[in-house]
Order: sequence, then C-alpha cells, then structure tokens
Amino acid sequence: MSDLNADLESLLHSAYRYATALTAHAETAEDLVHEGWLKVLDKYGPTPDKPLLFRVIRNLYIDDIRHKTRFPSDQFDEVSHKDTNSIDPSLYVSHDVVLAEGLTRLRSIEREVLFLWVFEGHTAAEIAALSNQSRGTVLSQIHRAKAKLKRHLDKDSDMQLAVVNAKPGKKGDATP
Amino acid sequence: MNEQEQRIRDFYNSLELPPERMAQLKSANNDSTQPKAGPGTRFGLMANLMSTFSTPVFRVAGFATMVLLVSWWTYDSGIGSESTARTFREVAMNHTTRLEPEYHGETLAMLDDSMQQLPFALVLPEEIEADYKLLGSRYCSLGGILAAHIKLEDRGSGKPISLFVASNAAELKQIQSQQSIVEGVDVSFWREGGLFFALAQRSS
Repeated sequence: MSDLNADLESLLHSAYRYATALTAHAETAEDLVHEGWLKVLDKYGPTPDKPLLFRVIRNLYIDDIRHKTRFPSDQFDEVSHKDTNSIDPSLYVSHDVVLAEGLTRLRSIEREVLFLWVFEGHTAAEIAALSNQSRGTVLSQIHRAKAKLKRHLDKDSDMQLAVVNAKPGKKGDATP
Repeated sequence: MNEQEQRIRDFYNSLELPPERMAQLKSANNDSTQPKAGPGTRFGLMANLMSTFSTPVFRVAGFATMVLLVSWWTYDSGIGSESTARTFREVAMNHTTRLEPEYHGETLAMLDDSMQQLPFALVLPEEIEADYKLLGSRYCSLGGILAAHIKLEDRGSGKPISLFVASNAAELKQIQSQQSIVEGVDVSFWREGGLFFALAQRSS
C-alpha cells in the first residue's frame, strides 16, 4: 500500500471516529464522512487536511441538525433512527458496548469535546476555537461528560457485580 | 491518563470506516484527477476566500462594508466641500468687512518686510495684472492658518480687491482651484509657486 493510500485511509478513519463522536451513530457517521470527503474533493481536491475535513464534517452535521429542527415533518430516514441523539449502541462497531451506551447518553457537544480532548489530544483552547465556544465552557463540558460517563460505567459495574453475586456458585463461595 | 480515558481511547481506536465505504471514497478520490486548489496553495487560499465570501453572511457583510466605504467617502468629500465653503465665506467676509490695513507700503517687498510672522515670502501671482494699486496688508486667518490679506485697488474702476496668500498647508490641501460667488463677492482659489491664493472682488 502506498504512503498516500495509507494516509488517506488513516484520514478517513479519523474522520469517521470524529463523525461517530458527533452523531453517536455508525451509519450517520459513515454518511457524514462520505459527504464531507466528497465536498473536500470537489472544492480543494484530494488534500489530506484533517482539520479541514473535520470542519466540513462538523458544518454538515450542524446543517443536518438545523434542517431537522426547521423541517420536523421531514421523516427522511426516520425509520432507521429516530434522531441522532437516540442511538442503538449495537450499531457501534466496537466491543465496548457499555462505554458506547454511556457515550450515547451524553449530549452531542459533550461527546465531541471529550473525543477531541481524550482521543485527538487537543487543548481546551483548540477545541474552543473549533466549536466556537469559550475555553471555560469547553473545560466544563469535558468535566461534565467525564462525570456522566463515570456514573454510567460505575452503575454498570455495580449491576455486573450484583449479577455475579446472584449466581448460585458465587453465592455458595460467599457463604461457606 | 486514567482508566476511563484509556477506555475511551481504546473505544475510538476500535472504530474504523467499513471497507465498502472506504473503497467508495477511495474511488471518488481517484476520480478527482487533477488536484484542485488545496487550502494550502495560493489558489486554495483564493478558493477558500471565494467560498467564504460567497456565503450569505459575508455577502451581507460585504454590502455593509460597501455602504460604510461610500458613507466614509461621502463624509470625507463632505469635509472637503465643507472646508471649501468655509474658506469661501472667510474670504468673502474678510473682503466685505473692509478692515483697515495694518501695514502700508508702495511695493510688495515693503509689505513682506513688515509681515515677519508669515512663514513664506510674499509674492504677487502672475494672474494679478500690473494695473492694481497696492493699498496695504494685514494678517488674517484662512482655513485656520495664518495668511496675508493684501488690499489692492483696480486703477481703472477704483474697485477694491482683496488678495489672500497662504502657505499650501494641509488645512487647505482639500480645496481645489475654483471660483464662486459668495454673498455677492466673486471669489477664486488657485495655487501657484507652492502658495495658496484667493482673490475676492465685488461681482459686477
């Protein structure tokens, strides 16, 4: 595989992760990457500009949300997913379904800032510039997102622990 | 990095665009034969700018900028015309009030010697013909700067004439060479030899 090809694949995978963070929906994320990349190709040619592609994808996502807000009767694709914030976590191509479910419970902007912060390693100031918010707001969103996610993961651990404790064998071990 | 962050990283790392979709996008990439203007290139910058400025927001902003520029130009030329009108009135008033000359002399050189505070040497412009009698001079203000008001008399008609001389200072730079009748006084402005001149006489 040539370097160029590998770069393109890496770029598109990154874009897909970002789009997934925005939408929390695998198919919608695919469509966003597809549309975004075609737009970049059309305007600038095959340029491996990650910030540019991210920006295009973000704008497309916002346009889509606005469109859905303006035209709520437009039931386009509503059968497969009611909206981008109520997601079937099984659509994630990931084994960590618990985390996936926790992420779907976050607001879109919280998922986005968390992704950019934790995965992409952006600073709060960079995220603030990308998402047109103040740095303080970004930091508070990151904090809130982490706290929400932690609550979800802790709750799931407690439930798993309860299930394990409820098993007969385990029960016997616990009370000899 | 804590456990939760590591888990998030692992989660996103495990996400990949499905191979079919990747193939479609690669194919679209190959179809775009000639690289169009990338954002890093000169043309890309132009494309970026054009795309940015073609958005409705920038169209409105562009229109607003144009309106501002036109307003500024109008205001600026308004200042120019206002300054011209004010100088016209000043000259006409100085001529009609007929204040007595402070300095008298038969030659311009004599007047020049007397008016030491002028930042230039008094000279008669070419347009002033020789058949004027020199009556005297006084200091005055023209467009906010110190000027000389030279009083002359037309030997033929006996009509008084006022000649104003000032340095071609910034305050007067906006005034173009022109002629106008203000309150019955025929006033003309012009520049000559690095000096600003105004001539006023009762219009016949």
